[in-house]
Amino acid sequence: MAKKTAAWYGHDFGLSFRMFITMMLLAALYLAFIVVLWDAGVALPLLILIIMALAFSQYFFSDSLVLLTTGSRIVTPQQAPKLYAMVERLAQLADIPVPKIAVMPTRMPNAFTTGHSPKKATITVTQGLLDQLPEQELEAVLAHELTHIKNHDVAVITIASFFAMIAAFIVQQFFFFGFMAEEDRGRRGGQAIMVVWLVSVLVWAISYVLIRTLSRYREYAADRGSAILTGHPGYLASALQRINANMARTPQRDLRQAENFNAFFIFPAIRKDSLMEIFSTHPSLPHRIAYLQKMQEDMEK
Amino acid sequence: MGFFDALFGRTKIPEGKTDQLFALSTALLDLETRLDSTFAGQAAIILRTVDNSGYESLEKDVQQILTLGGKDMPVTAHHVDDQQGYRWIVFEGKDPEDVINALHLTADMLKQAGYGDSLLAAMFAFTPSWYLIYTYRRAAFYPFVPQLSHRRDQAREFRIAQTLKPFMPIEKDPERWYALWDPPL
Repeated sequence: MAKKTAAWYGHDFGLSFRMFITMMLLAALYLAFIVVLWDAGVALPLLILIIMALAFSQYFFSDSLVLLTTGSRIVTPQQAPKLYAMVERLAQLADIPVPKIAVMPTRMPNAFTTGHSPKKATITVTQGLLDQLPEQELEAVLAHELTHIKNHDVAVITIASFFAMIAAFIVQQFFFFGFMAEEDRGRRGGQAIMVVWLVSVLVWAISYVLIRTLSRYREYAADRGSAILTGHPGYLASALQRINANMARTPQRDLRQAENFNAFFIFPAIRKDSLMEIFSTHPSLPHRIAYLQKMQEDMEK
Repeated sequence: MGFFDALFGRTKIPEGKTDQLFALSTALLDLETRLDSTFAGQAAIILRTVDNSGYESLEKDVQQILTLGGKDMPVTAHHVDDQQGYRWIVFEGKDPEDVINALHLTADMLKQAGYGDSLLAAMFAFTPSWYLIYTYRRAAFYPFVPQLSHRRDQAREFRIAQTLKPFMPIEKDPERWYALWDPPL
């Protein structure tokens, strides 16, 4: 009888734990932020209204906006039968509805997922990814994206980013709020606004790091899901290496255009030396490869 | 997959559920008379190939079950590895009961060997040219009528599903009627 190989399968407790800590820190930070805002007596009704509108639009329209700005177009099962056949089986294994697939006409090999719920999800792959990756590696990348859908990563990151967005918004609108408050409250307002501004900068800076930390943990989880779905951690590892190698060859202009979409990509379009890992949305390639190799070893136990 | 699994990124693939498979045995008579079609003598388990050494030795166990069964059941089996990295264990036999039994025994063995999460689906061929797919994730059946160039006859699938509904568990959400193109059946 073949032995039971359950050890590698399931979830990584350490990873879940680190996600939990990160999310707790984020929640604590946001709570403190709200308390400070309240104390400062910000013109709340208006603020809340604008923020709500922003959050709603981000949550519901961001995916079509991303598709629009990247020039991706959704392909039908008839246009890409092989791709859909691949995704359909993976979706059946993962027990999620079959997502829509879009193709982005760029030579840079990459993939990303949009949509805040599994029913609305779209996986976008670049033409470069389709052209440059062997089938098995393409499947590993698709499995990585499907795990993002199954783990509701777009919703988790969007919600986690909510207050960071508010903070950034306040920082940007500093002058606008400054005048408003001055009229309302006279001299006392100036000081309060200064405090709000400083706190906003602080919240934005800290949440920036925390959200990116969370994002990196979700990436590890998606790598893990890909390995589980395909049964081969090695395929994703070699796909990541290939994408990395081809990324370095891609012209600079393309890279800078792509940087805004990093949180969604399977592999960030930033040159290796441009940012420290703590500020990046994805773990470094050596770390991801090491993680996948460890999974491979666990599978053999 | 619960809320907290999603929150903490614990990817869980539900264990394959093999228990509803026998609903086909009991529904077979109704199926054949009401749809005016017959079992085509072929069925398959579709399994995700896994990259470890235990998986290779599994092949022996499958053959063992089949040769053991061969004495009692006139069922033969072979496997086909498709290009997408899935293994089709194809069972052939005249009597659908025997084929279902052999398929069920094999699926159970795979599950006990720890490959329950690799079980994708079971597929039964019927004439004229349609398939019944049992999905191990959701423990339900759904029809699959492939046409040329990856198109499906959705109208016919819907009719078949409506007809079979009273007799066996049919997947309610048509979005979960995953296609399985180019079956070697």
